[in-house]
Amino acid sequence: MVKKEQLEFHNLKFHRYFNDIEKAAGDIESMLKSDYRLSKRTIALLLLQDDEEIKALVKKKEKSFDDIDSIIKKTRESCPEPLQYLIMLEHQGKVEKILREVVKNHEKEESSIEQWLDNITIRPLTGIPILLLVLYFGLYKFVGQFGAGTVVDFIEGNIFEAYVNPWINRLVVSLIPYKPVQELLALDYGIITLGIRYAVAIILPIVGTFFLVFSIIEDSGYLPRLALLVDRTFKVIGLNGRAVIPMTLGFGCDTMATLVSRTLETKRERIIATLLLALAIPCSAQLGVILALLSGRPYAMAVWVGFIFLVFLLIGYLSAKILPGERPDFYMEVPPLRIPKLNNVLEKTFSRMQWYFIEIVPMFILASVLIWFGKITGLFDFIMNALAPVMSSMGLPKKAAEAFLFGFFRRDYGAAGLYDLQKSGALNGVQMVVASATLTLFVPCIAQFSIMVKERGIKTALAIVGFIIPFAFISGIALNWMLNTLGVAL
Amino acid sequence: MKALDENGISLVELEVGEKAIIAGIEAKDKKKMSKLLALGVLPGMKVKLLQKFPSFVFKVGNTKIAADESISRNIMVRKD
Amino acid sequence: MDCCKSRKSIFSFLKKNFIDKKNEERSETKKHKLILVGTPNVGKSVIFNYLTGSYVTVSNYPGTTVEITRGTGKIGDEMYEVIDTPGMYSLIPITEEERVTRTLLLKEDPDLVIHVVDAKNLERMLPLTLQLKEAGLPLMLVVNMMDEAERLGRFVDIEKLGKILEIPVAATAAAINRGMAEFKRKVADYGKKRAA
Repeated sequence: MVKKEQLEFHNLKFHRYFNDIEKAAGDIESMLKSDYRLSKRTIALLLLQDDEEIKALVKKKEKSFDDIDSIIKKTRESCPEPLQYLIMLEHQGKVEKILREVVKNHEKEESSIEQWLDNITIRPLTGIPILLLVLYFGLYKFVGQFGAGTVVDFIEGNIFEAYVNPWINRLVVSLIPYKPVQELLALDYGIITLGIRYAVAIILPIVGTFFLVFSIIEDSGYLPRLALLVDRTFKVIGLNGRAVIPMTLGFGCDTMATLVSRTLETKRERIIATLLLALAIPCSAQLGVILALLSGRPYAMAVWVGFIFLVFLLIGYLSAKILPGERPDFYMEVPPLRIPKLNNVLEKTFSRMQWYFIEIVPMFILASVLIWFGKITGLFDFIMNALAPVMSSMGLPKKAAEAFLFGFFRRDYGAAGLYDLQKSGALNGVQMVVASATLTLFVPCIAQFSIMVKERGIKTALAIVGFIIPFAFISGIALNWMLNTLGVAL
Repeated sequence: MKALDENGISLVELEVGEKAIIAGIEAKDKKKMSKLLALGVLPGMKVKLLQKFPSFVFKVGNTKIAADESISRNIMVRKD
Repeated sequence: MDCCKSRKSIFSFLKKNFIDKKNEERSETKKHKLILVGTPNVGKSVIFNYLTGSYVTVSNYPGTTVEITRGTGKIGDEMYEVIDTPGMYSLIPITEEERVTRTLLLKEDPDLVIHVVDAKNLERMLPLTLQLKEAGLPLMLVVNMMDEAERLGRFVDIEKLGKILEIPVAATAAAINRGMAEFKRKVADYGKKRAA
């Protein structure tokens, strides 16, 4: 127990400085004349601890601020350690004294199974294989194959294509004699036959399965473990381990993820995360459709994954180099792993889906209306023609421009457009990879863009989009050229 | 400025599995210091280093904390 | 089929949240204000749900509750507006969320601030309790996760803690619904005392 005594001596040594702090706080207190809601003593202590916000507030409210400031400076100089540290030590001393009276400890170690599980998830040797298993079963098998495959096929094929669409089309055609209105509601690009169909048949199953997996992972306490595993890698791209939350959430919905990126500590990190989310993280709807698109061609899928991952690292690395600012710190609590509670998981999944649907359905309808408008006014054909040379330089048919145009309304919308194109047999392997990669990088959807503006400001948002659009097409052209030069058939 | 007399060593110098008592928080970088204080990493508490790679993981009281080296380095400890 | 089930519950969820809330707002003009504070991962959201009956994303990840969540609930005979804050470690903010929380404490005029702490980690969390008390806020302490602490061999004398701190203290294990009714009663008592 010698150590403990030494320690108490250490704290005692600083205790005497606390008297000076106490006196300074008292002096400041008596000089504070305005009302602050929090007690004057607290305001005085916060001032002594260099709280900028409180300082600004007091400066505005008190005439005697200069005198207060000089007390702060004098106290700071007379103490060997930052005042915040000394004040904290004092509080802690009080807490220890209280706890000695109210807490009884009969120390027991936590159960060994828990410890073992805890350990294998945070050691790289076992943690990384576990991570890969989580990704494979959670994302690829469940979201990719079950959600985006089985469920989508069932709802789209067995419900919409077999019953809903033909029925709606017949109904609309028989009730409304005007062709333009018929097209607004039904037929190829109608609100119901395109907008609602995509929302319910393609997006709902994919997003639903993703949010379910994410909620399970989140509730189990696994995410902080993931954060500490990837921290070193994330530092290379100017982020820290904490950024795994917005980044993984981005695979669900980039709009939601951009919103969550505000939890990152520095402005620099927030900008890098926003850029990477907009550029290289496909959202689940887009991901699902692209996985389905490339599912029969494993090599094509590998090229797509590798290419996007490279772009992610490269752009992250470059923006970390270019953007000024200090290296981010990584520190976080690692809560114990626990078995996810079904109730929590379901409610979390539903509330996220609810958010998504309130957000998405109006957008789908808006997109249908805009496309309808674009078609009947000829604006759409005009843009498609204008994009034709860009498409051909990427080795894509002119009709692919439609997918990119759709992608502007919603990321997944564009991917779903590609899906239709592929089903009609218009694309070969290389073309599919080039189109998927370009579309993944291509603009954020309208919703994501509006959140970017709201969270990062119009200038930053425009700068990001201004970079992404040409970058996506140049990447597509480069990838096409590379694959053709190497003579790869996918 | 040094939070403690010369006997204290940094947490990062401990071996994995070693236990110690936190002796002080290095205050050269005030931002990093206040992060540690906020997490409740305070002098007098028991600490056990659980791993060093890829991030530092240590247990303070009943809480596990993960941090990078630049943060962990500021925790000064005394071996048990 | 799965989707139909989920949609149905989304609708009932919507109804519960929007329609019920509207009615409450109409019938009650003056509500008491209650703010929940504490570090992430201490079960604040579960307590919020218990007090309001409405849903908020419960998260096992430090810092996911980005936005302030507000709900309404009846405690005793009074209507309360319950505000759940993002994580707060200390009165001096480091992150955006902590800044948001402190601004809330500065600007709103709460009738009751409830500091929720983890019984396993009292050493780390009570300093904030002392800070909040020093700030002159109408404070109550909830020592949560008592079950987990007991499993680790830790026992806390709640009554004594309350006497030393001179504020109401409740012991709970919110996840398994232990001590919650008692906690709610203490909140109601506090409200009555304040009114008197």
